[in-house]
Amino acid sequence: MARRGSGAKGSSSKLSLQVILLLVSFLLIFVGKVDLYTVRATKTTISEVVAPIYDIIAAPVRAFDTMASGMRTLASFRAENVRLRAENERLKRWQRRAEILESENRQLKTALGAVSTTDLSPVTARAISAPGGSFAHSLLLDIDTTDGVARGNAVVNANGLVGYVIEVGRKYARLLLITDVNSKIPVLLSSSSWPGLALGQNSKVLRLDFLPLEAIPKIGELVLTSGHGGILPPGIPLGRVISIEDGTVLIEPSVALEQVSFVSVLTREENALVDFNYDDLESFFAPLPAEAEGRLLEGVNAAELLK
Amino acid sequence: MNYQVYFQKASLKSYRSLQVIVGFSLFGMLLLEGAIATLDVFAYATPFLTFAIFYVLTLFYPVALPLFSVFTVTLLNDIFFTSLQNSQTFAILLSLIIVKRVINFPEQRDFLEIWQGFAVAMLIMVIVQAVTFLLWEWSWLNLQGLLFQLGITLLLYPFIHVVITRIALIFVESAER
Repeated sequence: MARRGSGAKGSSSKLSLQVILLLVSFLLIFVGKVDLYTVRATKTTISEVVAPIYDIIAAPVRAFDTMASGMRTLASFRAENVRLRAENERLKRWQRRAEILESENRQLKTALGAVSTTDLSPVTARAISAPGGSFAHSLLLDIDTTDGVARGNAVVNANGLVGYVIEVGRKYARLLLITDVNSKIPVLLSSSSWPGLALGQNSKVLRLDFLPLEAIPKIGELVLTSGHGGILPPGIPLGRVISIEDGTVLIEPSVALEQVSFVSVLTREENALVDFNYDDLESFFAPLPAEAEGRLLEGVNAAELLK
Repeated sequence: MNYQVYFQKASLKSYRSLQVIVGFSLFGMLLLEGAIATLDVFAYATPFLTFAIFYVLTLFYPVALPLFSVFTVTLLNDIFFTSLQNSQTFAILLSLIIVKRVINFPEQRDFLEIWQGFAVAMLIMVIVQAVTFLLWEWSWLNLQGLLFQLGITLLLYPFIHVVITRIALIFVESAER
């Protein structure tokens, strides 16, 4: 009898533990969305502790990947050589053209007295995690954050924009990839300069939205960051228009995000997100009037004003 | 006050060490699963290998895997890979609790039923995550990647089932000796 009682007690305690764990995990969904300092610090600390362990565990997978890609290259060695020669010739032509244009650009800027906006310095980082799954696209970077890395910094590689920094720890930083559903980047169409917003969709392509009605994007047109908002620098290639159907414009990223290994974080001396003091927010808001005065939803009393 | 407890024989057989080892191993497995996502074949769509192991252990060796271990391991994984951006911990816990409550006596069941149960458990997990995603982000998921993940995990399940059962048998046999 006593045993049955203790058994019932045990099963009820198991049930209550299940309920508690479910509730806590459900609450954590909300906690994850709230941008509180404590939550952010906890997440960063945990990531910093886990990152070296992950680095060790991922080493054999990285080695296997390198070996597989090496074997693929070996198999197509001759064809790859021919392709690279042709590409080299093409790039040499582009280099000459770029040098001429750069010189012309510099001369025109000098003539116009244009203000230079190149106050960015790159910090190299290594991506140590995968670009995510179906629900979130982010990467963890192994980086020396004492070099001025801060939230909002653009992350690029040779081909274009990869994402921007959303969390900064002591030795690691997390970047949000441009394809993440939370990524919304102000862009320009390169040939027509129409502005728009590139929205991540947690898939391999981005959607170009908020284009003016007059804008007519073309297939293959390059999309660049516009620099609107002042967070990301202007002129970084984001991708190319690959599809226009029923008003939906899709962009393919310039960067193969699933193969990102080394990136550059563009740091700036004055960082808008870091230098912003959240305590200053109070100065933007006036306190609500006391309830006794009862003027919160009333219009202005002209008679009182005249008095 | 009940003094009888003082006269009961002390139980020296504790499963805590086993649970800790299993917990660490599963955490390592989750990290490995994340590392596999760096391979071109599984980009954005890694098979849910660890969930399959959770399922096998929950059904056949519940002593080795208490829910608290599942909670801790998945929470750490959730923070590390997605910065708590998805609801994986909640989805996995809910799915495993349902599995525990619905599937009784798995040893007496046909493997096909166990396999079907796994498919349902995985669907519950994905649907919970998808609904949370839809409500929070107000955006549709990339179904192509998700279906690939579901399909490949379902195909790999028999292999994982055999491997985990075999490993567990080795432990049981060595304990009996």
